[in-house]
Amino acid sequence: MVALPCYLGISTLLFVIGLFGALTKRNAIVVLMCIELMLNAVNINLVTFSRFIDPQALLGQLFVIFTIAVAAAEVAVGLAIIIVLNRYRDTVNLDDFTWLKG
Amino acid sequence: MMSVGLLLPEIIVGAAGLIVLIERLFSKGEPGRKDAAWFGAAAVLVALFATFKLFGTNVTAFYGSYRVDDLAVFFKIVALAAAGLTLLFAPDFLAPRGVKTGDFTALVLFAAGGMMLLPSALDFITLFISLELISISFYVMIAMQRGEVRPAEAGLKYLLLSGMASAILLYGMSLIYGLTGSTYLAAIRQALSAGEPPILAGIACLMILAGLGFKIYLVPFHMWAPDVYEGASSPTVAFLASGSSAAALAAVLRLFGESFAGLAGLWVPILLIMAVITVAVGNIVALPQTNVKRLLAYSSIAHAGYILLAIVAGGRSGTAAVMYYSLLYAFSVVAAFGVISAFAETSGGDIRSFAGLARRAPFLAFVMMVALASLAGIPPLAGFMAKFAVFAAAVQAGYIMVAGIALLLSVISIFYYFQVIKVMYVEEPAEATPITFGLGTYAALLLGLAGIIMLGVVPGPLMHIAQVAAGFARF
Repeated sequence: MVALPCYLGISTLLFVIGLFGALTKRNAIVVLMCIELMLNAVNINLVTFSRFIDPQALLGQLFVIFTIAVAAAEVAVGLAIIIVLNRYRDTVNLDDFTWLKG
Repeated sequence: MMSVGLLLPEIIVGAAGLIVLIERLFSKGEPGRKDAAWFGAAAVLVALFATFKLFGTNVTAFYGSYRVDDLAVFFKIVALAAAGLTLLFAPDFLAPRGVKTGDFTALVLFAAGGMMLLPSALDFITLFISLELISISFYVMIAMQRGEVRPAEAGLKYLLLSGMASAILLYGMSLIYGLTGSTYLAAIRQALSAGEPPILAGIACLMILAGLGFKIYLVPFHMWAPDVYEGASSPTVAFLASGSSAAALAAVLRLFGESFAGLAGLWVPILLIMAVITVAVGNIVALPQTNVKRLLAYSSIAHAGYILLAIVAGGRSGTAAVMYYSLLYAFSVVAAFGVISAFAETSGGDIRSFAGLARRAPFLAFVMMVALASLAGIPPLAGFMAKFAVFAAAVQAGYIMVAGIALLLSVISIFYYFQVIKVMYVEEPAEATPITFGLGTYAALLLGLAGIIMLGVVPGPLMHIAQVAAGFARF
């Protein structure tokens, strides 16, 4: 069996990649993808802890189902807003949205 | 079925939202119609009565994941008051701009449901779901306004930053779950207060603080506020400012006051410093603003700082001050944004559009003046008592220096609020045409005005309720 630290290492790496991308990328869709990466890092964490620490109650696995559903809803709304913006501005680059300063 | 009865107000609000949505599906949804909002406001009123009946319940239900106590009931009332007032004046703003009132009403009701669930949540899953119910409703509310690009940009900004904040919050939660083996707040408190908590628990606690800090305007996670306030429609902002942060504050009270009590040595000094910085940034950056909506955004940030001071002060008087402040702030900010949404020229928020408002619409100018004076903390208005409660709690807890700094900064705030009042009452209007507004706006502003003045002149009963409720904060 693979040890706990391996899973946690992968999850931490994924989370840091996601956070770095979300803060530095200028394409709205890529930022959305990076947020997904962060959420998936959370999912790995939860499932891992559920398996290793809490194998009876499975609270972590329950939590993951909710996170996945909510993340899907968030992406659906996010893409809808990006499509609306794309219609007005013909771009998905965050730097082109004058209002997204700061 | 006692347990389901505990959810009655939320069920009423949620069902009303669904009914409005279904009605929208089968009707043409002519843009001028306002009846959906009246229906929503009526549902909120019914839910308000159901909520009042829950006072004094104080039970934990659903296997320890949900608690109805006076603290939660109080915050449910704040959410319902904010939703009800918003629904009263929203149609006057939305109908002429081609937004279907039904869509907005349904979203307000769903968000209100989330705001009512959040203060009752006693485990991470319920807490997260309620928080996202609020956030996702607001993404749509902020972005929707046909024919304008600014709301959509503000919506995207809010969505991306809020998404990041939720991911950080969830990562913190997953770490806490790994350390304690539970997602229930009571079990987490037990696990964390037994012995020296590991360093990772501290990191997780700070991640959760960052995630929730986004919702409560904690500097440095406040960057979204000015742009969203300026870009979104005034009814949306009124509801966002009054309801969303109050609900998140209730979650902070539960999480940090109770579950993370064992880590108090770590988060109390950090939150104290952040609270002072939040008050300072809010008040100082508000000074040069020439846009009233942006000004109110920074004022929201400053007020969040005062409330955080009360959270840090803790104890019964601190918790009571948080509750009291949330309700009074909700009334003041809804009244202010009700005025802004009442006439078309100010939908952008430019301060010059307020010139001579006292002559064009004396009632609007008066409500705005009272709301701003209340936010500035002028006695005998509600804002004064709220600030007094916060500073008293801070001094009681021994943070005399900090309370002094915050008091000094709040004196600065009087300057920028009165700048707006001066423009409304002293300057000449660009055009002299009187401003007309609908009955709903009138009702909402009157109710807001009554709240601000009544609760300021007679603060005793509400203060007493808050004090009693704070005693039930332990679960």
